[in-house]
Amino acid sequence: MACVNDTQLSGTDKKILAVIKNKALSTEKIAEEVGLPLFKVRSRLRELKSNGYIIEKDSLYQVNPTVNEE
Amino acid sequence: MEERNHLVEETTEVRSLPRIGSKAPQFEALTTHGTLKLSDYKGSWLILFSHPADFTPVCTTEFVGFQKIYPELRKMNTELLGLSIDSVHSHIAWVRNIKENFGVDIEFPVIADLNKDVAEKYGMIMPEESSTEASRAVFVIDPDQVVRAIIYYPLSTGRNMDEMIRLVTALQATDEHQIATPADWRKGDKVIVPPAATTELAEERVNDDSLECVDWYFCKKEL
Repeated sequence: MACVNDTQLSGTDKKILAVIKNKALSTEKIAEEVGLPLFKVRSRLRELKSNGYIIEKDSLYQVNPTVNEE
Repeated sequence: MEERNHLVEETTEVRSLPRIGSKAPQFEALTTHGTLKLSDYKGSWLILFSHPADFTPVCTTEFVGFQKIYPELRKMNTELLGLSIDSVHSHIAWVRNIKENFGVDIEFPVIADLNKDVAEKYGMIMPEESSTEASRAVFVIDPDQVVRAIIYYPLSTGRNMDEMIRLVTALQATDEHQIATPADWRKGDKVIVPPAATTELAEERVNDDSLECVDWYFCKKEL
């Protein structure tokens, strides 16, 4: 285990957050819009949700309005 | 006096290893692309493969080989996921080293299976060969997460990348057309029609001009 965990947002995370900033999208639609494989988008969404960056409702994801990602 | 066998009680954990046709064991693992679950791959074909260790020559040739076939696999809705009993930092260093020394960018994730959780679930370790390294195992998992093919190679022998492509192509053709594929089959070759199940069908089969039959049980056709 590393001495500290890196919680910095990756370029991929930022791309995902950008496409769901103003609209809620499905995993498939996000994958299509950011041009990433589905497995990777599923994994990143899980992580972003667990860290509170995004919220999920009815299998649609969008940026958590209470979080300022800047 | 009756002789008795004294049995020594042992507590051993017996794990049921995946077999062709069984559901692939689920896992959540740390990888070079973050934490991944097997379920993240639902809807895609997946080649889950293990290698003995990072920074070893045969494994390096295999990684270069797997990366070379990755674009073609992606076109076939097939993902690659590597695994070894190394840390994620070792994987990152090795992947960067491969790029530096061989000019190949490894784009697929690699599981850092330090606690051997995934390797043990899939029976990737051959204790008689090495208890600290995974063998060269390959599990082809379909979009419903069912194990469709298993290949094992020893530590000393690198795998054949053409066979990975050929195997997935054959499995996908089988699913799409309900056919089988003969030895050394490649895309474009004739395929095997499943043998007739009744005498009536056998008779019809040998009289079917669209098929190339040697005998009632051995018929081929174009796809």
